[in-house]
Amino acid sequence: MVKYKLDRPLKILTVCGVGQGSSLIMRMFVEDVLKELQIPAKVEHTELLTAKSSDADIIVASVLHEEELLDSGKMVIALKNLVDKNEIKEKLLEALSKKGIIEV
Amino acid sequence: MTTFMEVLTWIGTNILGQPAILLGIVALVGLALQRKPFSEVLTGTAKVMIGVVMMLAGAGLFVDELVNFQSLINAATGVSPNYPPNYIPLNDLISQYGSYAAVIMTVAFILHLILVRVIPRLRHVYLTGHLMWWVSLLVVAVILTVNPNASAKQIITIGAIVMAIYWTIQPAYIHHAMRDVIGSDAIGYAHTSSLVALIAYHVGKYIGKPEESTENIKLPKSLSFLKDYAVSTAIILGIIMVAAALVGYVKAPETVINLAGDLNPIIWAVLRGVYFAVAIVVLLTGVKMFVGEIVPAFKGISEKVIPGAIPAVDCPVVFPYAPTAVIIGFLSGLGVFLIMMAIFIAAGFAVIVPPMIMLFFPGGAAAVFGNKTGGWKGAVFAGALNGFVLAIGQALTLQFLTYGTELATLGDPDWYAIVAILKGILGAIF
Repeated sequence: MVKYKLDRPLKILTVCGVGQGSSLIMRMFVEDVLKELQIPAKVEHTELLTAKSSDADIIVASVLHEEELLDSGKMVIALKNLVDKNEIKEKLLEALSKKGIIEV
Repeated sequence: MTTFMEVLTWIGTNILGQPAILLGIVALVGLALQRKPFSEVLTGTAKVMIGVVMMLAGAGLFVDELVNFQSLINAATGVSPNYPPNYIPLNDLISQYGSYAAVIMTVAFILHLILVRVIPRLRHVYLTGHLMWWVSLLVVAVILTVNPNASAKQIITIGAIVMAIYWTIQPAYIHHAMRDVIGSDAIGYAHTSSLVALIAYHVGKYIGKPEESTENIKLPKSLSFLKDYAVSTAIILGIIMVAAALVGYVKAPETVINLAGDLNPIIWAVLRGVYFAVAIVVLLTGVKMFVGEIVPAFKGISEKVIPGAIPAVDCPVVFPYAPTAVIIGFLSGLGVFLIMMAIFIAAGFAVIVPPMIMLFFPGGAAAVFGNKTGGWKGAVFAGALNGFVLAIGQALTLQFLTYGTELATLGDPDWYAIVAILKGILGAIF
């Protein structure tokens, strides 16, 4: 089990080009993974345009948008398969440990 | 009896006639049934209502900007867009008949789940929520266009059957190609670009070689702005508007000065590009807000009813498998679309407006499929085919659709196929 260290729910933003379809799909799968890991979180989905000015702890997006989002100085998790829960889990755990938000 | 009729009329006016109220109630009941905490039920319901009203406001802005665009092109070229007489603009269609689309979406999703449950060969559950909304609305518009006196029962029955069949078979007929592109059976493809993607996949091998992949090509980083639809819309539409304002100023100065009002025509034209982009942002943000509350409920239901079903999702799911192909498909589609736009104007046939989102997403996705079998040549062909279908589809649909005419400018390739097929079938029924 992971130990969650923040005193508030984690804020995650899933991002795609128009913020309509694939960001919502990613949101639902990220929510499933976080529930499984028992990490309290608020996940929202949006489009590139507004993502760069968000205050989310972590951004989850397709590898297609990795570069643009990294330019904004945010921590970005770039997915190759947008609905692969194993990929999401692995990359999420790695990023959260690196940020000191969880202890595995 | 009169009281009963009064109650029905009241419900008709205050609930069914108000999509924000109807969808708000649907969200309220749906969230409560999922036993969500009270605060989530409340915020979810509010988000849905805000989303619906924002969509209506965005549709109004969009209709206005489209008129500006077409008036300016008309001033510059003398060609008019040929809307059907007495057409009902998109914002009026949504406010008067949006509830029908919402009911169709819900009933059709249940029918879809039943179909997937009982037909063993079909395993995909369609989860691209915003397209479920748009195509349901499009089907309502086509039914009303063919028969303005269609009853609520007829609209909802026909609409739900058509949508349930489409959502069930579309991910199935493209799945062999999808499996080849992503190398797995775990995800389905649920997007209204399926026809161009499928054609590109099968024609690709006659055009090029898979070894000559787009992914060996390095595109300049400066092209990455194209992935941001609001930016690309403002820039491309702005350029066309400024060019049209210049030509129009020479050919019909009074019309252009009239359009621009107190502003300098060039400044006005630049602003129109920006407003056009903003109209689409507002429209889609509204759709995003209410769809974002409904689709998770749909996903939850489908997982309970059909364990082991394959989620069929929006087209960007294929983008990571050939990101360069996406940009190439968009560019070739935009090129073909602009050429078609010029040809249509020269022929006095139609005024079409470049739909940046539909050139990027269906064109980009089709290019990923085309690249898989035909390398970069397949990708170029895929995008070009998309641009061609979008241009013809938009021109013909603009002249046909009496209800929500502007939907013609927001369509993906499958939309136009659905319009054509439905028009034929309905002509026989009514």
